[in-house]
Amino acid sequence: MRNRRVRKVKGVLWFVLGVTFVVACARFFSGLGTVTDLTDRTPWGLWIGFDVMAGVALAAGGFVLAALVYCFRQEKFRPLLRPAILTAFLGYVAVAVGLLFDLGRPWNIWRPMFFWQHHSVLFEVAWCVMLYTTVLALEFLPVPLEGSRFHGVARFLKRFSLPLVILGIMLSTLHQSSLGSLFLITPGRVHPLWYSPILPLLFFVSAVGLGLAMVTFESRATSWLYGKKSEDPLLISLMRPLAVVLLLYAGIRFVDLAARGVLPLAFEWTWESTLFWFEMVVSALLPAALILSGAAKKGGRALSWIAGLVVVGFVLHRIDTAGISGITRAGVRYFPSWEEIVTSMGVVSAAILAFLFFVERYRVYPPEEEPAEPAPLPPVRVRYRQFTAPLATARSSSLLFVIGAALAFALLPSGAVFGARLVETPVRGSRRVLARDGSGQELLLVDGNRANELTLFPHDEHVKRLGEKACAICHHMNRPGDRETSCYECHRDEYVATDLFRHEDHVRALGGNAGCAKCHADPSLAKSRGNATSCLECHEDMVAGGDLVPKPAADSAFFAPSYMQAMHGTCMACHEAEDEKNGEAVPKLALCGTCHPDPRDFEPTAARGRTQE
Amino acid sequence: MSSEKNTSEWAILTDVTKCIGCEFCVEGCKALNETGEDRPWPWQAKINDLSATRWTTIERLGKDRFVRRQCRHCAEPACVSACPVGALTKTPEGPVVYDSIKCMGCRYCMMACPFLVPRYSWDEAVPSIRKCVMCFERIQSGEVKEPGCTAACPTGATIFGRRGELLGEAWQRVRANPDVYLQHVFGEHEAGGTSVLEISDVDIALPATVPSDPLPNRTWGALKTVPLVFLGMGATMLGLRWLIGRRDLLRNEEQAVEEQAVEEQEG
Repeated sequence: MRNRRVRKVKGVLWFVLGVTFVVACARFFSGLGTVTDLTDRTPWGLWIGFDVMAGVALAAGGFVLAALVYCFRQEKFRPLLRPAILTAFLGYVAVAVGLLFDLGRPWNIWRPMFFWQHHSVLFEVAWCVMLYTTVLALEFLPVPLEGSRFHGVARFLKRFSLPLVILGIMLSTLHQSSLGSLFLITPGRVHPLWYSPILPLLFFVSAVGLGLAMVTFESRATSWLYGKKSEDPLLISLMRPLAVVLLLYAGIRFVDLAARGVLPLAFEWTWESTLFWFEMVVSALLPAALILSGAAKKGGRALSWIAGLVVVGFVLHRIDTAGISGITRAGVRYFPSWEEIVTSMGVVSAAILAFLFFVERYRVYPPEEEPAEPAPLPPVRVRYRQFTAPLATARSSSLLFVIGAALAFALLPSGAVFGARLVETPVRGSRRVLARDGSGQELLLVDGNRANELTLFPHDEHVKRLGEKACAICHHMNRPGDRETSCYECHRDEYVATDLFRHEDHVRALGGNAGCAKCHADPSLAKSRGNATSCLECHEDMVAGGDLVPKPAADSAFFAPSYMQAMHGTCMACHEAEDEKNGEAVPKLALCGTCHPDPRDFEPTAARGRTQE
Repeated sequence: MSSEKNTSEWAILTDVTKCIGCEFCVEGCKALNETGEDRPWPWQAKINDLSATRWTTIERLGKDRFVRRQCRHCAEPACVSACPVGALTKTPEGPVVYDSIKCMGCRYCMMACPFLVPRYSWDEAVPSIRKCVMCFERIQSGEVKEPGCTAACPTGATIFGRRGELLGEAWQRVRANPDVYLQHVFGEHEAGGTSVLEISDVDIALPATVPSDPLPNRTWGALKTVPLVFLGMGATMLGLRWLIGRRDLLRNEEQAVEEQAVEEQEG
């Protein structure tokens, strides 16, 4: 019965690991953008928020319990110490592995060791995590070594357990709080309900609470899994300190909000304030109330529930601070892709499998009641197989791993396998219509610039002008992400603000598509700048004044152009033609700004624009 | 505060009233730095937003105002202070430059920048941070005299110079035309002062959350306490252990004495 339970759990974990394996390959070969939903606006996502921020906090049980046993001298908790140290060690290794996934250049992860940047919080966190992982390894090493050939090393290490424990507590205090300091520099990204100058303190206090909860949770979970005697009496006595820490946390948080004057934000019932209350209730208020009401005294499931609430609540707090609370401020939505979620689950699965491996193989938990008849044990090379899981699981686990990998491979988007994809931008919804002028000409109603504005497009005219074989000019398959060229690719002068004339403003001012005929008077002609009404027809007031030679009368027999007319009419026309001959995409002299750098040259218009604002 | 000490730093001044939005600066930047073609990646909201291939861009404000966006090369850059490996550095000349060899890709700089400037090449297996570096190396080596963007500007709306001179020029223009310009030089004090300055007749819509104090000060305040917290915690824990140990010891001794007394009485 209990073996089947172990086998099932392990099967699920191996399956997740299989999926993760394939996703990880895609991430390393094809780039972060292909499997994550991270963007330039949301550079940190689930992998930092959960794997690193929450991961480090979840591993806080190690230093909290070590402090209880060694500094507060609560020897009764010693049986819980080894599993807590093991959880912490594996937790930190998981954080490092999770970080390898997230780092763009993971092979440079060693750099903070040799290139010191003492002004960076992340540098400090990196050092503390590195040192503390080493400390945890040394604290745990005696367990697998005792009873082996190297038991001498174990004895040697045990002599240093007190200094190691103290060093571990010091390092943990630093980096648990520094994970909060990380966000001191990002006030623009964190909602005021979370952003606070005392983030480091809040992170530290919550880590202590989370550590106690994790120890409880993990002890209950192992008891359930292996059907071993539960340690409920011990866990119940952990609940009182947990309640104290939770209330302290809630108190600090509310006092801080009030002191910064943002407490009213919590009662505006926006998305953020709802999230805030949900997080506060789940992480601190509800568990503390449950403990104080005496629900925990009976032990059993109530313990799991309380610990579970605290864990979920504080994990949420880390993810909120690292990203969720700032989503509306960043102006973009971010939701982790399934690949990100699976990878996070995979890292946790690997950590749990490693935990089960150590628990099954070594003396992590104290032995249960002594067997009735004291069997003579061999003195050396003792293997503590307290919790046995049948070896047969290996085969079914490998099968599930392979199935998971295959499934992931089938589900991965092509971009993750073959490299990042572009967003395709087809011209949508083209529709054939007849020209209104009764000429029988067929026009296409298209969203030519992908701007959700429809325009009449004379397709036949374009074919005629560009030549039958020129389909590829617009319908090419060789430009990345483009299925058809948008109008402005060729008619840039009309759509892009490269000139003082802006087509879209005129469209808007003249009432959308209804106004085309104002400038493009002849409906039978393809609309172009060439056959449009000249600007002067409507904008006489825009012409710069101060002509040295007066304008000639329209019917004057003696043509004497003014200086302006000479420049605009005679010089420009030639230069434009020259430019075109030389293959210039946009003739420079066609741009008003080339000769009129100062918009104040067009004083009447410029002044009008200003008074409107 | 910082505006006095960086007078000789390289700087760029953009006059929004003179910008016609032609994007020659964008083209000039692309041509000089060979950043490549803009592409519609899934992680880009707009193709003409700042991106790994577009280090400066023109953002249209309202009907007819154009604001150039680029790295502002802060006097006390949040990105440089955030970088754990020193891949980003503030040069003595002013520009904030990037060394991809040192970078480990943590993207903390992108998180830290209050102007949301640094971009990432998400499509590459060996990605890097991309942003305007004020053409630092090309100007240093003498290849060009000024950045590609300012050199390309046809209207003189954006110009390159020393921060002190440009700040003076900016205030002179602003004061000379009080009915045109807002009486403010953007970048003079924002985030502790930046090397990119703007003058304008409309608000150029910098992120509303940009503080006036340099951001690195905030994390430095926490980092300063590190040695104290580290040693303090160690001392506290050792002290606690000693105190509680001593309390238990005394209690045991008392108990022993009492028990002895009881035994003697009984005996």
